[in-house]
Amino acid sequence: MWSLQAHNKTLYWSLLSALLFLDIAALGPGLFSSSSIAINSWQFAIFDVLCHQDPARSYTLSGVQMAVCARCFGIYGALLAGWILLPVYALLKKRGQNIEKGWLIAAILLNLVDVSGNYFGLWTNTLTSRFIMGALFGLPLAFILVHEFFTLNNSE
Amino acid sequence: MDMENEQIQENPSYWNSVIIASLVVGIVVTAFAIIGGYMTLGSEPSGSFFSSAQLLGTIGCLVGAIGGVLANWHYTKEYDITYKIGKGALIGLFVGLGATIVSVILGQIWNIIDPSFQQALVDWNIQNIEAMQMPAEAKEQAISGMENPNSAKNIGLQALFTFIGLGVMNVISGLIGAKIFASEE
Repeated sequence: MWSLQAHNKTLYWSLLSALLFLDIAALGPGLFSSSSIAINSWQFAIFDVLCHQDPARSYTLSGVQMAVCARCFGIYGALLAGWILLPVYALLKKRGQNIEKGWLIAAILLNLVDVSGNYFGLWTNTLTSRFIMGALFGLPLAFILVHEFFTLNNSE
Repeated sequence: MDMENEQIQENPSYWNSVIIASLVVGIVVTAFAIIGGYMTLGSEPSGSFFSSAQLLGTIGCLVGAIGGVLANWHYTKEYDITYKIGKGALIGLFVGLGATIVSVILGQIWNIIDPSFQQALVDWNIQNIEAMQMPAEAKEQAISGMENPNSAKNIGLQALFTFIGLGVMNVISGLIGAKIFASEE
């Protein structure tokens, strides 16, 4: 009989709260008001040193620019989704298989190629492509820590 | 005494690693902010929210979030030890706090070196907002929101917001650093 065992519960729940807060902040001031000036908001101040906050590369919410660019929103969104799905991932993950580190390295390289290709004019990336690339990076950031928080035990 | 030595060997101090990573993150993040600021001042206010100087932030982003990994890598390399990821997270949190303190101090030092820098940036942003295509009321609201960046209240608030961002991201990177470099697996 297989059963899921949780570890480091305080750390898991603390980080879930922190990531939830960070994702709400990343949505920007449009979540709370429709002020067209966003740059003075606390949400923008939080990500000031973490993201370039280029409006041309950011989604809008209620007509107001989000506090992070589409790629960063993909990273934070997928990180939170991955964190919530950690128990499910622990159940689905094949025993003895550690693919997350390779996935993480591949995602970093893919993002570098995407940024470089756009910079040198080889292709033009879109908000959606940036979001997907960010999400591909954010998901393994959570999944790489799966065994630190959840393990599948055989009780027989 | 022997027991004390044993305990130190089993659980060596991580403060050197925290300080090194905090300095690296704090210096680079502040350097990008200052260089980006001067690049902004060197350009004409066009009414755009974004200046090309802000592209520097994309590199700063990577450095800002990598402090936790850097500190854990340095700590394990120095003492060749393994530990639980909770300790890695704590190291990451301290790096976030340290980097915030370093960036605030360096920012204040730069204000002494170039006292007109912050005010010039505020003036540039006001001109930029005035060039934007938006209702006059919204412009006034935005400009009135640009308070003196050198007031104690604004420095404190900016430090708090920077710590929230750097703190959470460096806790995550600290966890990953501990998982990669300090795991017993």
